[in-house]
Amino acid sequence: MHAALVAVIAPLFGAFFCVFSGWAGGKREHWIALTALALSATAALDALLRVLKGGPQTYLLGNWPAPFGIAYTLDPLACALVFLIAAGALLNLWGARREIAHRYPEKDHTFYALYLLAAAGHMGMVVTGDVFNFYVLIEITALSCYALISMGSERSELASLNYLLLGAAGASLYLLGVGFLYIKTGTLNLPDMAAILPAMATAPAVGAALALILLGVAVKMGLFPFHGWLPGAYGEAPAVAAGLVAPMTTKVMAYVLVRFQVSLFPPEFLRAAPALPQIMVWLSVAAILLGAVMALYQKNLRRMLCFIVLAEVGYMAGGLFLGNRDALTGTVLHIYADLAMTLCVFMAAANIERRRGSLAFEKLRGLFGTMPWTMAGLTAGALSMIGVPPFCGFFSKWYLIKGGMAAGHWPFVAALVLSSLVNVLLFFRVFEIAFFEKDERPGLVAGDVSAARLVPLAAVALSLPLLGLATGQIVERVVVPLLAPLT
Amino acid sequence: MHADMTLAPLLALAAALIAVPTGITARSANLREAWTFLAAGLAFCLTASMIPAVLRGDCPTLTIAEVLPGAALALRVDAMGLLFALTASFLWIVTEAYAIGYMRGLSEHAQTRFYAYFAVSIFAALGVAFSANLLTMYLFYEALSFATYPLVAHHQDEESRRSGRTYLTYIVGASIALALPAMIAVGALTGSLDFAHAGGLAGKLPDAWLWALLVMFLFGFAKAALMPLHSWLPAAMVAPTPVSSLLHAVAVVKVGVFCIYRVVTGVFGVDLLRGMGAGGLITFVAAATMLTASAIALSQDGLKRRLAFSTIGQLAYIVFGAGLLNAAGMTGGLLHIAAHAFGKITLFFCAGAIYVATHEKYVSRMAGIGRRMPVTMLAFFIASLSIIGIPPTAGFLSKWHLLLGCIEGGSWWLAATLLLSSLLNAAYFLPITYRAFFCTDEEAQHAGPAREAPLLCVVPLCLTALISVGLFFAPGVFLDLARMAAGH
Amino acid sequence: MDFAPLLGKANFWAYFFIMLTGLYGMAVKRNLVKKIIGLGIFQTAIMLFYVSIGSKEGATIPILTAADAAGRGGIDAAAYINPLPHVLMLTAIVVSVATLGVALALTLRLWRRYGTLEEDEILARLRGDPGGEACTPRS
Repeated sequence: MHAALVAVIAPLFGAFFCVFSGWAGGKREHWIALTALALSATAALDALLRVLKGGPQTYLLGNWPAPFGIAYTLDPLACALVFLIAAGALLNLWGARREIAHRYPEKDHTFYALYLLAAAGHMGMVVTGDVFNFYVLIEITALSCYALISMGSERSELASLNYLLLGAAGASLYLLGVGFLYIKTGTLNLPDMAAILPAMATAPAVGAALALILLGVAVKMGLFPFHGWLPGAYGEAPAVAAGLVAPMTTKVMAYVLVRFQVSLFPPEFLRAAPALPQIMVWLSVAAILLGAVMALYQKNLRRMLCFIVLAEVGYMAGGLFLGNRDALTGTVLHIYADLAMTLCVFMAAANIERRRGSLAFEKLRGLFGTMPWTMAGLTAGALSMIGVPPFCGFFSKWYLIKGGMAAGHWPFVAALVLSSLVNVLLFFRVFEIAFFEKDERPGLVAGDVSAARLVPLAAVALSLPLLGLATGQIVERVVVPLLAPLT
Repeated sequence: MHADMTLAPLLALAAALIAVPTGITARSANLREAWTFLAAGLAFCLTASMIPAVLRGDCPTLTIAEVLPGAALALRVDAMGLLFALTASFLWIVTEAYAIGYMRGLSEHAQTRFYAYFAVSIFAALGVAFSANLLTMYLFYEALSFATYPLVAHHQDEESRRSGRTYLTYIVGASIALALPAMIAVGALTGSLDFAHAGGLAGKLPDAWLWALLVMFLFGFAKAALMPLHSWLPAAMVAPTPVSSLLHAVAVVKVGVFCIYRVVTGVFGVDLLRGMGAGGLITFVAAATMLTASAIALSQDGLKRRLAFSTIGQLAYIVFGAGLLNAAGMTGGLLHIAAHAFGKITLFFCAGAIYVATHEKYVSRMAGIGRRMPVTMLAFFIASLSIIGIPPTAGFLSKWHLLLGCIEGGSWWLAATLLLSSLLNAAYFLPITYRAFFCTDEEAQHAGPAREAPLLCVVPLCLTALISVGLFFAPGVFLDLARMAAGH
Repeated sequence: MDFAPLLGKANFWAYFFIMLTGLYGMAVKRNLVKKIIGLGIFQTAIMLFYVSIGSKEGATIPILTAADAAGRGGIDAAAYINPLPHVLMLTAIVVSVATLGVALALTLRLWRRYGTLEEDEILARLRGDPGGEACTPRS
């Protein structure tokens, strides 16, 4: 199973090569980055196919046995997510060469290096089975993201600094929680810990530890009320970087919560503190409503999308804590679905920004006429976010609503339905501007963006219905084995 | 009834989509329209090819993907679906011919887009007809909602922007807020969304919840335009007339009532609804809509608006048939899907032909128009007879069965409502024809000699008017299918 | 719940207090550098916590020694400080230094652009210049 290691290491080394290439005055960083990500995606796909065939596996870094060394947990859930991240990062970067060269004539190698580091960090967080290694990877990812984000608009530095302060605090809280767990269990290995914890589930230190970990991840995930950094950071980042961090980061954090929920939080613990899941679901409801309402007030496509991301975080967190199988299934599906559809809309938005220079609503006039292909991609993403079958967003929402009904948590169900309705409103407001209003400014570049940007967008857009149609397969081969221990 | 796997329904759907890529890439308008004709013809032939099997009692079935447990993406052709699919796919051919005459006659813009989305809409409507379960039906239902938006908004001006907004708000709003949660609840409770497993809800929920689900479905499929969720239909009349005639008199709105039929027969099951006594609710909503819409239609001056309100009333007849919960009522309702389709499409064709020839939109300015367009107005007259339900037209047959259903159910006041509504129908249709032919020369706003709209506009409307009459004498396959679907 | 075993220890109280000090700085101070200082204090508190959970009274550093003739010495786990938390904190220190570096770099760029480190003033400038098209990014 070296494939999984290759998936994470390839972009890491690619990042170094990019820096060296930049020092040497080379102009090949784009190709280095693409190669690294392609290698990573291939390796991840290979790993995915293997675990689908041979069942979950543990990969020991440097062959150190589990409690002492760092172990990678490789199951279909993780491998599929790594593949999506690698493929998404690849497609998102594919057509951006000119844009990056144009925006950062002297610093393009830095941009590529940071981009690869961030991608590697995201993938590492998914596969690692060691809670401290996870902390390190959080910070590797976060540091490269801060730097990437600060390369954006003139407001991006402040947004990035805000993100940094909150993010570092969140990661520190996580670290503190891990410290408590270490005191109690004497191990940092996740499966090991999961085996020891149930015996001491009601110990106050364990409760405090899990609460701190939850808090830390919630901050990194941007869950209400710790969402303050998110719209700024994703809204002001460079378009290409936003296409990486906005779809990936929140989803990876949600994935981590799924992992902890399934293997770390013993059911006894959640039974001992029944208020905790309740509070989390209510926070999710608040996140969904706040995201929906705030998105209505935005006058810029990307900012609007950021608040939708905020609401989607609520979807996933809510599904996690409703405490039934359907809701958890919905969360897992939504991690995949939301990654793909957020990537789709952000890539489409980046294409528009490339042509129009800005995503302010008044710059979107007449887009259906001038950029039909990009708008087709945006429409596919929008329909998925609204939750129209057969797009993947529909099926995850299906399970979430079903889980909400099964738990009898009607406010959550209502919030999900309302958020779908608001998404219709949000996207069709944009479509109306792009369809009905004509843009007659002189000097406007006519025509769609180049094929190098359209082909990846088309691939992502096509993946949305395919992911949706594969729902049955995903549930059967990814979610059911994952939830099998929870009976 | 045995189910056998077949590709026929999928092929029929795929045939409808042929028109999209070929239409977009076609070099000339003639070529594009030739492809659309081919697509429409193929779709109809493939649909018709399934008639013998269905009449034998078979259900051609095809499972595309197991997306959710208990709810695959699956197609199945039964009598009810085939009845609707036949109507829609046949009328698509006719409308295609009409659309060429209309769109060219008015030199409309963005015709390629128009034909492409038109084909997608028909594809979605056929998909609804062939759906084997609630999930598949919802999928095509939503596809239809979004595919018709660019058609409603075709003119890309302020008015169509407003109408498009109303259209989406009602249709998509209702389907997401009401039908979707209801569907998920049904799926969660019964474990199956398949129409073949009706009645699974029995005993799973307290009655109050069952009523709530029924109401959510009834109004969630807002394409059926039951009041108070009807306002989108008059608003959607800003679309070019071919859209109004095929989509907003046949495909889209019938999809709405068709979905209600499916919910009644395939989700709740007639027995369960009878046990709940829910028929009364459906018939009440339908009767109220019928009378109110007819009353409003009386006061509408815009011809297309009057037709739209008439459509709302006639759709309520179909829902009414479902609410009767007996075989005769349902036969009548299902037959009315076809009968009303042929009648109303003729009326819309006439409205469009008048607009192309004279640019008149208002009833009050159509006095004497029969002298200028005698053929068109004659067809208009025949079609109005069919809508009112006067023999020898198809509308009589369907309304006759509805009346039988009322009497079978023993509710005389329902029968009286039907008759009253038909009187109202006569009151808002017949004066138009009367004034078109029989007015003094001073009153006449149009004069002879006869100058009709382009031939491509006139031939289709004559054809559909003739079929309206023909169906009275030989209802044949339509009546058989309706009776089969109603469980005779 | 019974927190006594955890909070009965004075060192934990001290770290808790330091942590709150850091949090206070981050949350309340409007000056960006002060916020960063707050973050540093916050992170340091956690490192101290880790260091202290590894140590125990009278224990020595975990170095393997050759056993003497009598067989004493060698591996005597009970007499060692737990080295793992300390090693982890080496990593954490590296991480926090890197974070500090990025934070300071960002602050520097903000200073160059706005000439101030007060968040309120920067926000006011940003609000007064909503389009921001006149302002080109300086790298």
